[in-house]
Amino acid sequence: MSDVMGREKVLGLLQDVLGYATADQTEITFGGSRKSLTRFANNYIHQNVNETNTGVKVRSIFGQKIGTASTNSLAPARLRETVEMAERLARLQVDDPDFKSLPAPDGGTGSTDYPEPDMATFYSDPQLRADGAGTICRKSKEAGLVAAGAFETNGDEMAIVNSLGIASYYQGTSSHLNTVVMGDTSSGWADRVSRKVSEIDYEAMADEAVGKAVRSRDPRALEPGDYEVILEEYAVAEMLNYMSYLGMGALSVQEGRSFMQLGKQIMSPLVTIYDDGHDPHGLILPFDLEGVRRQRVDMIVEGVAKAVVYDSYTANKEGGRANTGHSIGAQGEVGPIPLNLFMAAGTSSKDEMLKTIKRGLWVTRFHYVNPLVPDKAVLTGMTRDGTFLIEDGEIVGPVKNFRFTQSAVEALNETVAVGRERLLLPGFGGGSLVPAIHCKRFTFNSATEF
Amino acid sequence: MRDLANVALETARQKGATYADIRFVTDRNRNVNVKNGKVESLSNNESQGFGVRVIVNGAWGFSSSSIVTRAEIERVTAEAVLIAKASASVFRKPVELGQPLSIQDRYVTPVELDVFSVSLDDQIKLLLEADAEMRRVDGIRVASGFITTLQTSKVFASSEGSYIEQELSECGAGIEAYAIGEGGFQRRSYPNSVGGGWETGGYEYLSHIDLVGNAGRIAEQAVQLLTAPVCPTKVTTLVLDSSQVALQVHESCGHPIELDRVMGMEASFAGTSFLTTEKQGNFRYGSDKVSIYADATVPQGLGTFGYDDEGVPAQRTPIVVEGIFKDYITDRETAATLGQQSNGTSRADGWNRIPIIRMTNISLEPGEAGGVEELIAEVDEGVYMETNKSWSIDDKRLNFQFGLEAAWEIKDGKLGQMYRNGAYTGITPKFWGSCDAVGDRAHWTVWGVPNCGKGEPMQAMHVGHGAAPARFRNIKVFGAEG
Repeated sequence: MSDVMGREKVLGLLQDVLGYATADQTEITFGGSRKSLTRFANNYIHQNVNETNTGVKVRSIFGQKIGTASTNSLAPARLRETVEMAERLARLQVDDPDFKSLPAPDGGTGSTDYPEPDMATFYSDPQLRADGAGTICRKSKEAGLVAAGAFETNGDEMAIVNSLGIASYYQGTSSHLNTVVMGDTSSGWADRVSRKVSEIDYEAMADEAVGKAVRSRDPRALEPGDYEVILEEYAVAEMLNYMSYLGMGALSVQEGRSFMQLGKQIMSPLVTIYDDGHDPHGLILPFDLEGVRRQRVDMIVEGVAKAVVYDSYTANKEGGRANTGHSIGAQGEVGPIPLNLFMAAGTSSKDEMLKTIKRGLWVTRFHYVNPLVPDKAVLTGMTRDGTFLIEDGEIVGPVKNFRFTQSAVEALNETVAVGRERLLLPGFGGGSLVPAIHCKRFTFNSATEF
Repeated sequence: MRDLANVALETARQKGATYADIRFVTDRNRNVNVKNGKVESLSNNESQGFGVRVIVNGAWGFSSSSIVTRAEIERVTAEAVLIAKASASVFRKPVELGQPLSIQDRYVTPVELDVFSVSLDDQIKLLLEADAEMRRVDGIRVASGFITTLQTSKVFASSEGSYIEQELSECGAGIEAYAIGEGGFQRRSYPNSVGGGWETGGYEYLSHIDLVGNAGRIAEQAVQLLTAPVCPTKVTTLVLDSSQVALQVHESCGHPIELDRVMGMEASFAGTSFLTTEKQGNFRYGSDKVSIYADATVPQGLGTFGYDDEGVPAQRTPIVVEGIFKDYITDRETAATLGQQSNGTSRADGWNRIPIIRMTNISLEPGEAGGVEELIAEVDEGVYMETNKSWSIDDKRLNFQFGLEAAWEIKDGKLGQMYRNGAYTGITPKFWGSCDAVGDRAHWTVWGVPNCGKGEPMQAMHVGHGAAPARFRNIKVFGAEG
């Protein structure tokens, strides 16, 4: 797909594919993408790639037997073969007693109340990305530092039709730039995502990463242990992304592996977390992978676990509970998850948080996070790209990086201040708009050598 | 296909490229997943396309498309040239690839039983039988299993005259049992966690593992873990099963020896490496019990192939010999910067990705210590841990922490109390320096890792690790609690 196909052409194609189907119910999913990415390291561009791809996935249902097949060819013969394959697989199936039906259209299905795609992002010029990379490399070089990073632009078309009448189409864009700037003993980081490539301020990002790399030179070793911390937005987004995957979807609750104790106060009253696929401050995803309009879901309200997200399968399993439109595809191990996370802003600036801390740590971001005890959201990972000691309300200097092993739920329960500014950062498939936080206690269980 | 390949190579030449290659790739995979007595999903997926890589004005450009036609190849090649010209605007020095390579060959994965020859009915039946065995154990809340079969056809053609065809086959399978109680949930997996067990080859892999025969055992252990005490915190002797040794090699050796990472090319994503180039040939990476090879020729290894995606032949390279760090894994560009030839590890995750340095089969050579039983017999007090649950390592690959599905006390040379949520942590060279015994070849297994992530855009690669159980002294172990 070198050009946008457009709503009419895509939905027409999918209706044609639906015409090949003989199953009781059929769903056709279309994804078309143009993805470009420029990578730089050692202050020059070392990889620069572009991809044009399409994909069609067919889900066929006979009674409660389900089969799926996919292809990335749009040739009519291949599409017909793919439908036949999905139906053949479905006939081989055993009944899934928990499957009731594909979703049917409702009032919001097929709506087009989302912003126009940004064509400058959809067809981004490689020279534009090179200019961004070049600016960061130049500023790093001037400071005697070395920059690495990636500047990405995506243009996506997505559509879903089913035999019950769902016909959803969306054309969207996103752009993402990250950079690490390194010295001999230090590093700094900047990361942004936006619907529009023109909103990625690479000059400011270069200044942020270079500034932090300069300030984090010659870190000293500090004993691991429990510390009061300021977690910058990067670190908060990482924690929230893992929480969304581990416990904020209905399947994790139904299977008893979620940390969400619905109705209980599990976090600080300062913490409110919701999912909204339509909020223009995030990355817009108007419908889920079954074509159902995404509902806003308030998952944590002032620290109380209020709700999790559903797809048609998990909603039907609970006897007619409302589908919130959070399917990530046909039922699987993960189940529905929120992809457009928002943490409500607080009232503090990071400087104000800093002034209240007698002794603690300032953490820029985390690296290589993984769950250690998933049902308690206990995560482990490293600090990276700027960790600083705070004493008497001031940053006194950089420290070597720590490993943390900490429940994310507990960290948000120990939160005593939330930032009033928020950053839009990449999530697991969407974006997360998050503030910095101040936690009274955060556990670092070992240290590394740099 | 030669004609279409020539369209790209000729278009690139006309537009000023000093080097070009094109890869045509067709992937087909079939997945059967069962969960709690039903077939969770049954799917067949096919993807085809091509990617063109060019050097223009000394810089790289790459573009790719799913539409395999002459016109699209011309368009995509022209786009790759434009991208390379943009790369050249933020430039250091011209890319050099070392000696030109011109190879014509065909490689096919040795297979006993074609991966798509076994009926889905038979696969479903096998998985449902294992699933039923797991759910027969009281306390199991979720039982699941999968079989994935996969075939990849590749054609590589370059402006240096190479034309290489490859037909690769793989098979993966695994089962998991989740027990849920008041204290949380516990999981046991077989033959491995996080993606199961994998080999290159045919469906005969299913006869190398015994899903049904191990289903009851792992389910019982998952339930036992619910009430087992949390692993104590102490510095002690640690014995690891071979699957965890494989992952330890993956994270603390396989990644830090990637020469692109060492040279800073992965810095913004996964990080760099402590194994900087001045250490080559003289750095003590581990004890003299530790020898590690990168070997893309190991039979059944998940990182086994005929040629990498730059057309370099598969080969075996010493990485660590009796504890001393010897060499990196390289591609043509990075090897040339050290005055070496590529050792053939440049691979791409599909037609739409550029090849980058990836692990092949990075294996800890077997020792002489027998198996787990023999390793434990020489331990007065320690902990034995089995099957990975969680992994994390810093951005230079020094400080690591692994969580394991199951752990047991070692007392007077025998296994004792079972522990839950066991974990251990350490610093890479110190940890490998504390290795005092490695199991022998009879207990050596080539484990497949089907989900190794690297690069931007992310590329998930299939890699392998030969490993036997091994023993480490003075290691910090602890139990993770919520």
